[in-house]
Amino acid sequence: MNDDLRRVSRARPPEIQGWAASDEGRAVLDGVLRETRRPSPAKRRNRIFAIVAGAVLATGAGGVAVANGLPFSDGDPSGGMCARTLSADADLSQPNEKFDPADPAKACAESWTVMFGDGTPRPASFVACRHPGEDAGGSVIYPAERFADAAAACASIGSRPIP
Amino acid sequence: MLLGFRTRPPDEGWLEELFRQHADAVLTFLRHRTDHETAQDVLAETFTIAWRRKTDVPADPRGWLYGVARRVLANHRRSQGRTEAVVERMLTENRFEPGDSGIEDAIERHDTLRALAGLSEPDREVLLLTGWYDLTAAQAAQALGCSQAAYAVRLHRARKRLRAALNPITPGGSLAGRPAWETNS
Repeated sequence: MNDDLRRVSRARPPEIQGWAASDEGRAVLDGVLRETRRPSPAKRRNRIFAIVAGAVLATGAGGVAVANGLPFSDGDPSGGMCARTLSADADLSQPNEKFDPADPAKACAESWTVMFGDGTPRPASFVACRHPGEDAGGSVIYPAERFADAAAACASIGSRPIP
Repeated sequence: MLLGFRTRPPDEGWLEELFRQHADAVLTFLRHRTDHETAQDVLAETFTIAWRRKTDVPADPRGWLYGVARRVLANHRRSQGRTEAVVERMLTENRFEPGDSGIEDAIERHDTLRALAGLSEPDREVLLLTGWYDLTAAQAAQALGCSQAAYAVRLHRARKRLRAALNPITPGGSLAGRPAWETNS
């Protein structure tokens, strides 16, 4: 080590030792272990979204949005979500930015790595579909995968496109 | 039949071992930058991220953990609207009063901290990763999220600026800014 770095080293404050094995450290580790036993954030958001989407359907807001052809996520209290895959039970996550009604896929594309990590390549194209299934109604951007047509892509998961 | 053993998913042992080996070092790093409560919160999030991204954690995880802790703390600080002031904390927490190591050593430490405090945050960071936390070049580059070549260049420049900052207060230089217990003696 050079003299200047040695000098920096000599100004080093005391190190913490033994904390990890202390009661406090053990309590923090137990908290982390509890957190690891919970579903991943994307899956938790999926559940929250299902509840919100259900409420939308119950109040009829989702239906109004579809019937009137409003822009993406209008009338949807979830604000819209991004799906990792084109599937009815896909992991859902919220992007960092707000959805641009004119280009809602942009928010999902730009937040892709933050939401889903590097393990899932960012899709080349997306489609906007209503969330399918029992809690249908919410606004979701899905990867278009092999489909060139939004209606066909949404139909493949039992859904319909958002106008 | 296993009685008296808690059934756990197999990877929890990995996380516990990671925590046992590195939590003290990560907490030290964080406590130099923030209060104890925030440091614990950030540390917990750091190890939770390690769990969620366990396939990304390298065999030598130290630099990776410091890098995650840095980013989590930076996000936390952005949300709180505060800035990191690691060396200023050291200067104001009176950790460098003369002790067993003697007054000359205490003065040198104080002068070094003052010089570090005068550097830019990126310069200070690269110097502290090496000088305070003993990270290798590979570990420090990982903590900073840059290549080893970029780290080497950053360290070289930071050392040059540190030497320039130390120069006015090396022997024969100005005494301005030194602690009161020295100028009063």
